[in-house]
Amino acid sequence: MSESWTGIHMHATQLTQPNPKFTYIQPPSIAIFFILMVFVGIMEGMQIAAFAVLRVPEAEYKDTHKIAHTNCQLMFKGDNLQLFLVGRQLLVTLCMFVVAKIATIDKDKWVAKHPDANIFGVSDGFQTFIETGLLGALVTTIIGSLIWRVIAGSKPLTFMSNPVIFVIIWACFGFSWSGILNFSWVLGWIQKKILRWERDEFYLGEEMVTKEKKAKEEEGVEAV
Amino acid sequence: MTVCFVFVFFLQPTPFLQPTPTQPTPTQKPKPKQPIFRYIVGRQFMVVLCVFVISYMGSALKNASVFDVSQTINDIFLDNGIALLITVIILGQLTAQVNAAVCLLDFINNYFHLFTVYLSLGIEISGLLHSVYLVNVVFAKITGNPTPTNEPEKSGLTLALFWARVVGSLFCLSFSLAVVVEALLDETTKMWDGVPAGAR
Repeated sequence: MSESWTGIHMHATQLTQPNPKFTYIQPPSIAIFFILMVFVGIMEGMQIAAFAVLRVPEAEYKDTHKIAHTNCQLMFKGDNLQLFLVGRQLLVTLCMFVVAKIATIDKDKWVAKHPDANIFGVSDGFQTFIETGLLGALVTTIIGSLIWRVIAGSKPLTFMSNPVIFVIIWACFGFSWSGILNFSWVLGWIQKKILRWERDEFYLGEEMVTKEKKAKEEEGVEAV
Repeated sequence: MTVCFVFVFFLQPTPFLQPTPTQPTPTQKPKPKQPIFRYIVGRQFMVVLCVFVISYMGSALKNASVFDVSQTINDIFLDNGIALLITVIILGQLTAQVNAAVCLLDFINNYFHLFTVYLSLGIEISGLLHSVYLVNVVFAKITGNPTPTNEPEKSGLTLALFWARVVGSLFCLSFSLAVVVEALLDETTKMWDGVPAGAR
């Protein structure tokens, strides 16, 4: 009995030690990378999906897609859209910066670990190119952005039925309300004065601009 | 800029849209085939690329210090890149968007924007991002909801070239993903110290 307990104890001890023979998954960095991809993707897609849902008569989905209805109501109520867009910009860029950081090879770390080898045995020149992190940009563009836009455009109601979107919208409001980016309004005003830009009404007339902007909103083309 | 182009697409034909030496109206060129998604594909890559390049060039060195402020402030704004982030968003994104929303005609009325349109379309034509179209096709098959398009159906050489670019794009994407994942698992990326990097 005591021998068997000792055996179990030894076995348990062995299990808790790192075993070089086995590969095991310890999520953090790889998980962070893919979670950020999904997060960026949702934020890219939700804008498309929300405007696409606007084109659907409310009665058609109000009872069948309650979460999507709630999300759209929240996003388009009053000045919420503007708040959402500002906050979304901050969140998307933040995520992209983090992805850029964690998807780029650190030359010092690589050389310290592999002094005489390049990743996948590529040439020195290509290794230098890889170390710029541009491959991460390609991955982020396709997996973290464009694919989600396609999905959101195809199935907007299903996309907007994701409860995570509700949380993201409020997070965007929070960032906007913080006022951290409000100086951009001042800079925008200065830029407009320096470049002598005129509002569209100056060229097109008030009536036409209002009409076209309204048509644009109805068509959901801002989603592009 | 995207909002500007889209809005101008939907404007009724008016005299201001006639090309003049000072008004290149870049949106007129791609109108016949409605390639706004093509433009978006190229534009999206440029946006992400700019963020990555700015991050690569503008990130502070470890333990960098400015203005004799406390180390905590330096850690927050320099080490974590918050200063760079806010600068990029305010100077590079929101300021332009604030004006583009109301002065969209003046905003796109210059040759630099014409250049960016051609560059975006050039990136798309290169086929680097064509794997997105594969996803589009697969998703349309699954949902039975094909994406409406004004473009003529591809056939013959055009079709072969399209799928060749899709395969090329898939190869580039797979290789890029493999490099990123390998580096993450190998703990040789710029991930913050202290985050257990991975998996083996």
